[in-house]
Amino acid sequence: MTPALELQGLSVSLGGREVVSNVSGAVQPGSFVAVCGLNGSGKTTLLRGALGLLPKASGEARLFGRDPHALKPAERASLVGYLAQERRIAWGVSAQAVVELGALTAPPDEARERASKALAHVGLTDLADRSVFSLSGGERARVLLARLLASRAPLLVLDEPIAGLDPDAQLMTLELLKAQASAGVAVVATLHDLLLCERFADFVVVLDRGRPAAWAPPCDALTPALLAECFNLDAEWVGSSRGQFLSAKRLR
Amino acid sequence: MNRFALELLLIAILIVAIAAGVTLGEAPLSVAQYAQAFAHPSSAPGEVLWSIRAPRAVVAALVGACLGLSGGLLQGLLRNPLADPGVLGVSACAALGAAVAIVAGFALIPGGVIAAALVGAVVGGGLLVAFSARFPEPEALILFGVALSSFAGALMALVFNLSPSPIATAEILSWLMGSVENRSWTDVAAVAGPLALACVLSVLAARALRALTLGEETAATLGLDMPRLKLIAVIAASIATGASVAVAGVIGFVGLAAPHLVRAAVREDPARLLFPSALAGAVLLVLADLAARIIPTEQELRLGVFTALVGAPLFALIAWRAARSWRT
Repeated sequence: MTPALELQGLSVSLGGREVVSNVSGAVQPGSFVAVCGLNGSGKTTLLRGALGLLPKASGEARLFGRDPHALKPAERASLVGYLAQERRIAWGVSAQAVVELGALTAPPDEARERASKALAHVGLTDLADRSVFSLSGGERARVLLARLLASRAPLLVLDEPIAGLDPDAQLMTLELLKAQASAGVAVVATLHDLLLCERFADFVVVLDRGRPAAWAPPCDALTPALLAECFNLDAEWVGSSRGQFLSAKRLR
Repeated sequence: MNRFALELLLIAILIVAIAAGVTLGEAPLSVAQYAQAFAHPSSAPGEVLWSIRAPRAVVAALVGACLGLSGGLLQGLLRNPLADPGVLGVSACAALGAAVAIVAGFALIPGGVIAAALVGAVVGGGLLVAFSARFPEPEALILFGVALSSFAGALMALVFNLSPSPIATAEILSWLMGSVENRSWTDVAAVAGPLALACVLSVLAARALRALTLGEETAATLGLDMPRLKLIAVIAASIATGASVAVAGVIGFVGLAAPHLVRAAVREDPARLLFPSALAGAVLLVLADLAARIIPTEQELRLGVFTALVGAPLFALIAWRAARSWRT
């Protein structure tokens, strides 16, 4: 099966400085891959480089076997739905209008239908006509998720999708993404919460100052040794009847 | 109200406003003279209505439409409710072109000042296009526009400084104050063509403005060729602004105010806003010109002065409301 996203020694530079170095790995359709690392470790740059939104310094990125830089904008939009870290919405347009942007290249009737279904999927049908400025942070996050669902792209890439959300909204978001993965969509998301990485992700990519420290299932990636090396944590996983918990304190 | 109903309403108001602009004026006409003007357009009252007032009202409408369209385009492009055709310096460059032409004596050549203003606008727009191709971020474009506007302003001051003739200086000042007085059907044609072109380009760029609602980075992934469409939007705004300055001089704040008047009615959609904004700009300027003509003052109020007097407090109000929303 062609991987949804494949990286072969990908390096990405920003302002002449190499921010991501030599990352290799593949994301298969139906899998949920979490990317984690400290602030400034290169997570966002890796995502943007992988999607062809930044020029690569060296190596290769492939979206469903194709060079993202060679894709036309509409082709890329049909393959990838991307949630950027910047969530500001400039105008007080309706929730429906925001979600329709996920299907911007589709005919208007189809875009409307896809947006309505996506809003129903995240439980916001009643708020479709409301201005996004009148929605709560959690509701707005669901609208932006619905925008990704309306794209119907087989690969969803999300930069910190649960940042700033309350625990319930965090779990709702990750459950929705997990369900998408179960339905065959490839999901890549940057996450800071290691516990949620362990619970939801099939694979975890750990970046340490731009270099890949791990690309493996959570139990193999998030070892006490790696948590000490990359996250400055004296940590261990503790098993319980409700799953694994992380017991951690700062090393220094 | 849907967009179609809003546009119909604005068109109806515009027709009434232009009719008022044609029929009302400083020189009062009797009912018999109006009848004569309609029956015999070449009669003296007919000349007043169809050769003086009508082209003036239509030029005001077209210039207002140019400014309203530019404002809608630039606010959508820069995602900034305070953007205005003047912000990016195109108006200042056009005015500089006109000033240089007046000092150099081109005012004696028919259309010389208008052509020079258009050249100034095209040069300013060209610089913006070249800059935005290299640095596409809206903040960078605003900063460059402010710098361009300041530099053109400084060159304008230099022209004033070095101007050999007080008559030329007075003429430049008159241009800077903006007016549609004594405009002819030739001026109508001079602004109608560029406005039509800017409208066509706006249709192409509209979806890009809608995509930009979610920010530059997200817009780049929604399936549109954003660099090309943003360039088209800048070109459309430059053409429309240049044409308006070329024909009517510098008229501020209409480009700022027009989009705000219709934004709520189009549910803040920056793509659907463009044509209602152009129509609102047309209505605003026809009404402003009418007010400037019929308000009794010793000297006729200059249109640019009048719009600035009304527009500057509006600008402050919008800034105040925006600042309040940033705090919440």
